[in-house]
Amino acid sequence: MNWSRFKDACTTYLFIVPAVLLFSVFSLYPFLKVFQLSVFEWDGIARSMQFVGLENFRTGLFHDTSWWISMRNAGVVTLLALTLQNGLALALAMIVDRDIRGKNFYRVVFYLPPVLSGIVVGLVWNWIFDGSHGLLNHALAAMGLERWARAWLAEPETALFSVAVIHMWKGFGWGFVILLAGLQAIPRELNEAAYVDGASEWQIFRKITVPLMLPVFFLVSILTVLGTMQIYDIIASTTNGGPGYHTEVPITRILAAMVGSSRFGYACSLGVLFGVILLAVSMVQLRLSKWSQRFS
Amino acid sequence: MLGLFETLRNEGILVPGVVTMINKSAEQAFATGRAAFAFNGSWSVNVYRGMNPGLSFAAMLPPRFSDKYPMRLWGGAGTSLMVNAASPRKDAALQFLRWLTEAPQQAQLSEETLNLPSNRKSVRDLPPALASFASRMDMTTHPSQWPVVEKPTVVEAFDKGIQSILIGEKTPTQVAAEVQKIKDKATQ
Repeated sequence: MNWSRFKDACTTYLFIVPAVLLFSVFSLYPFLKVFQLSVFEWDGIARSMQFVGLENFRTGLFHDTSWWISMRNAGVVTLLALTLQNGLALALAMIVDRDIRGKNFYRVVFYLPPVLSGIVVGLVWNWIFDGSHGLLNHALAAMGLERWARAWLAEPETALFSVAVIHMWKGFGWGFVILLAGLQAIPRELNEAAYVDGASEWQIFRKITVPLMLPVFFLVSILTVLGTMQIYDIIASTTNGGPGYHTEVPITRILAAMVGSSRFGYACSLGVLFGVILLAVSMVQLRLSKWSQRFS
Repeated sequence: MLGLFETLRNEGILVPGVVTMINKSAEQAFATGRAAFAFNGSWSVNVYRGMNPGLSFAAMLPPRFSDKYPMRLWGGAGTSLMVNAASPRKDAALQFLRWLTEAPQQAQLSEETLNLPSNRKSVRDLPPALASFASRMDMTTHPSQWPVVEKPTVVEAFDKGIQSILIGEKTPTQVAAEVQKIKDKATQ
């Protein structure tokens, strides 16, 4: 290597050093530290840590019922988000995709909830779901349905579903934007040709829209699963995991172990477990996505 | 003790939704007259005045469990002032704290903030609700004084267990057994 090429190479590496340093300090080191801490028992303060091997993982997997309850709760919310939230997002995207009056207004309105703070959204919905003077109970009373009025966020039968409603309301805008972009990428000629050939709306949707939108559906699904399984801010500002364990989710359990119980090692092991589960789910979805791309 | 929560639930005494209500909402429920009573500490006098300046209320201790065990209040250490032994300005800091806790300064603090003074000589002309708390200062206790510090997992089992009683999911006996089981496991 001559001097000129050596100098070029050095200059190139010099330019990426700041980025590598920042990435290493703020991303790579914490990431690896979590793995290291997960095999230790540590209270977060003491200078010494006790190596416990895979004991933390064993506790999380086989002895911590609340962890699996939290996974189930997050799974239920995710399932609702995948179906109802994304269904609503698709319906609204298809409506706005047409030449309706004020469609730009709707685009902005539907995209507003996702950009709001989850804590603020949670506090606002607290007023709506309040058991004594909530807007929802008032509306039910006005319709003569007082017997349905309840403390929506405090009763075990409705708490998780209420939290899911808040999450879906806040989250559907993301899916709406992505699905709308996908719909607009479908060549109009295809739909027009189908119309000319006498295809019905349903046939066009089933034979043209769905196959061409499959990759977008999978993208939205992956984002929904990852976003919903990590739900936290809305829970923190509404139920804080209660009543009992009915709205506990993985992040609240990890926080309870770390901040509430000062079991940093155990909290990190739960974090690793959670990451592995999400990674596995994402890999499956990616596989399906690739398959769908070939199919479409 | 857990049976008290079951009684509160069965008698319909609690505000709907109290199980998951955040502290601020619970304080608002009392300050605005939606709740007839509230469990709270002396700091609430100041909080309630901010929420509803015209609120008229009185404070009392919960009934004692038995003559052997008088009711004690959690308190007496609401705000702790500390001086770092390694500080080069340690003496000046101590001097300032002595001045701050003298009667005139504490009396003014009580007047302005409606919080309990840290100096007994300042306990005068307090509003009735705050005076009720002040009269029981000898009965205050704090976890830092207790011989046993409960493990966080046991505390969580208590909290979640009480919630389960309030929503009618578990009985006090079940919760007591579960808490004991977690305590046994935590102390192994």
